Amino acid sequence: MLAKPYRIHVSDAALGDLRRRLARARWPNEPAEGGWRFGSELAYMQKLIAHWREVYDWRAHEARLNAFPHHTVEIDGLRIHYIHEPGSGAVPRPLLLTHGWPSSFIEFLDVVQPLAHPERFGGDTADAFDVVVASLPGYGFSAAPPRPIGARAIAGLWHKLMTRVLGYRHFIAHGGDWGSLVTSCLALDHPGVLDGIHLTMLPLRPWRGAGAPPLSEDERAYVAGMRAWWQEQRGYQLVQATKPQTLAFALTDSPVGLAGWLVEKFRTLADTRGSLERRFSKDQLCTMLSLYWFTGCINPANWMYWAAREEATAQLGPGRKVAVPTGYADYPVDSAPRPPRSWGMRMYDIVHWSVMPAGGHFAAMEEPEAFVADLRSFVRRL
Amino acid sequence: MAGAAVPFRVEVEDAVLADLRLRLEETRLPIAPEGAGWRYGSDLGYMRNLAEHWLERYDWRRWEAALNRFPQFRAAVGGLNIHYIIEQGSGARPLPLLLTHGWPGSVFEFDQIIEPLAHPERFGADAGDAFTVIAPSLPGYGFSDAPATPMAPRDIARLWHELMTQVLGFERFAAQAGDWGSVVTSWLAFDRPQSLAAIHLTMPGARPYTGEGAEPLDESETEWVAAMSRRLKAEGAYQEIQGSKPQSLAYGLTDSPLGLAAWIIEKFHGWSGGGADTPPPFDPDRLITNVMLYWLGGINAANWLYWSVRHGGRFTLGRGERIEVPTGFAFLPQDLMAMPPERWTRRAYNVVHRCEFPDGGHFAAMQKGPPLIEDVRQFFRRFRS
Repeated sequence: MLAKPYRIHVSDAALGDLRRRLARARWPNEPAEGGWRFGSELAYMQKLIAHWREVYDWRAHEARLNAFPHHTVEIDGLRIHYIHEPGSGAVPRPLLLTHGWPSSFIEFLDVVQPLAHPERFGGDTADAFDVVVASLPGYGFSAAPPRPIGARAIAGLWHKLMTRVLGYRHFIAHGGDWGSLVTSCLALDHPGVLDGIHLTMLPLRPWRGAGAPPLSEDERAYVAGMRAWWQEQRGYQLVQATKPQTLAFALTDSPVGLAGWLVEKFRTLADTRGSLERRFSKDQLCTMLSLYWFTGCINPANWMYWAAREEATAQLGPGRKVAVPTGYADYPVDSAPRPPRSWGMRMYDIVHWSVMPAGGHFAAMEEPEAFVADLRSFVRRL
Repeated sequence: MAGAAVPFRVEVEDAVLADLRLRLEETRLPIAPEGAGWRYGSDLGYMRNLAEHWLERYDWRRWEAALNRFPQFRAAVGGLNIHYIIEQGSGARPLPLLLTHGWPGSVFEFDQIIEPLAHPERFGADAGDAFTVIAPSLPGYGFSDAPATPMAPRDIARLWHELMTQVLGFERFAAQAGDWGSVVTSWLAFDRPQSLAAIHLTMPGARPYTGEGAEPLDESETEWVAAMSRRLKAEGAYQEIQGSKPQSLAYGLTDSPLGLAAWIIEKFHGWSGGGADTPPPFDPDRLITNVMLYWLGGINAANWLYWSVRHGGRFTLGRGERIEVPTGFAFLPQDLMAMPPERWTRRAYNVVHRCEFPDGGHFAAMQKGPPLIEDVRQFFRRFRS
């Protein structure tokens, strides 16, 4: 398992092809006064696509991405891409950051430097981390597995990446979205190597059968609230979990289609309060979309949902729980209810629970300073 | 109010076809899991061949001419221009028959049954069985206008009534349908029973009331309901997305012809008995022609029907409600929905005929035209007067 430095370079031909496709966008209609109630709003999409085509400069963003130390390594026959930024000081603690869908390693770029080199940002070198940001299999520059693999299998790859490739004996892991499930699986399957895990989502489902303590009133309200919220949100997930290949043709062939599928998620799941621009510049969204587009990775990225259905790792069995010390930062997401701490304690050894006032599902991108501060305060406690 | 019917011909501009060709030539294909076949959705190999067929061998002008062999009109009903085919039946008293398609079908589903239904004598059958066939495109489908906002099936039934009675002047007519068409037809029969001689469905479009005070479900019904819910869990995700965030899906399906074809054709495969490693049992030319109607008119508004029934529209009858118009059912075993128990269909309908074909699926008129024609003729015979 020999790691190689990696440099991002998209060909001029691919850039030209994208520009041509964007120029010939063929637009759907929209219900009268539809707005975002029906999905990605037409007026916003037209502005975003015009920006992607006419204003957005991939080469400038490519250079910015390449300012980070990228590597690839083959683990179990699969090429895994990661950023590895060694931290300041004598004993930086190794930290693995895992993104989710529809995101990528890019989500963490604003926090890599502050986490690795706190002293450059007015912090204390004692808080420094060796930062590893890995791209999930099938996402961005990590290769697609031959068939869908789930969070548990990926946790196995991450264990090898951290211990065998990078040689760490102990580390801390953070994740959101699918990253939170991968991180939870790491903690369930390899507790010995983890000093702690930090999550921005609680992906596991507690055992609710015989012997489980009954739900409190707060917990019942949370479960019911989540179910109601999820009812209107789950469509993409069901498609990706049951018929990913049916969807893949349109999203792989049309950059506008790719953007339409993904952009609504950033608006709904981030702390946008109805305005995407409040959280994300068009450039930020275009970089994320460009990564998905140029690598053609949307289909294998969606496979996580298929694999999760098959792997069924999220549901804990009786008596099963994450024993690794766990920190949770609860960011507001849309109108979804916020979990009571007792709910988190059913699945995790919760030692740190923060209710964040702002930021959402893409916390490291939305509120990088608060994200870093919370992660540090969790780790100091360990 | 109903407007005058304006003759209509399908005439697609050359520029639209040239644009389509360019998109197909530059199709960027996804990867697929090893040995995927149709297990993960539309099969990559099949779709690649279909794109090639579409480019190299498919001739839209030929199919356009085929569609134009039927007299077609557009008429304003309920403020929307509705496209329909009307084929005047043979003989002195052909029975008017309203044929309503569903999703992801179109009036093209009826291409091979319209003439035999209208002119049985030309196909070795009895002119006494002739129908005047009216096949409208649902609002937002093909060459019908899209409504300004999602329109519920019951509202479409009102348009259909206006079309049949005010535009076309039929006082009493018959109706045959599947999929959304069966939902619209069921509401039409429920709300306007005096206009309907009888209805013939390949899917029970109305769900019976099963709440408090209803006769409890028997074992076969409970089993069927559970089986349907399992089936929908595996096959119903398209309904979820189209019913909640149709706009997010619409961009890709409107911009990529092969993306549109994959979204549609997977249903023609899965609901017609296609296996994990076998292609859909239809001529690719016919599948493409159906997709073309979505490409030309845009698929977005067609998908809104799913939104409408999750936001106020309904399938389910209220307590004590039943469709009293005489109803015949023909079920096809490879359909998305398995044949429901007789007791279930009787809850919602005045069932006077039920049969199950030995094979075939959801798109009965395309896949099993001759037995469907025969069943429709036989069924409606007793309602001719």
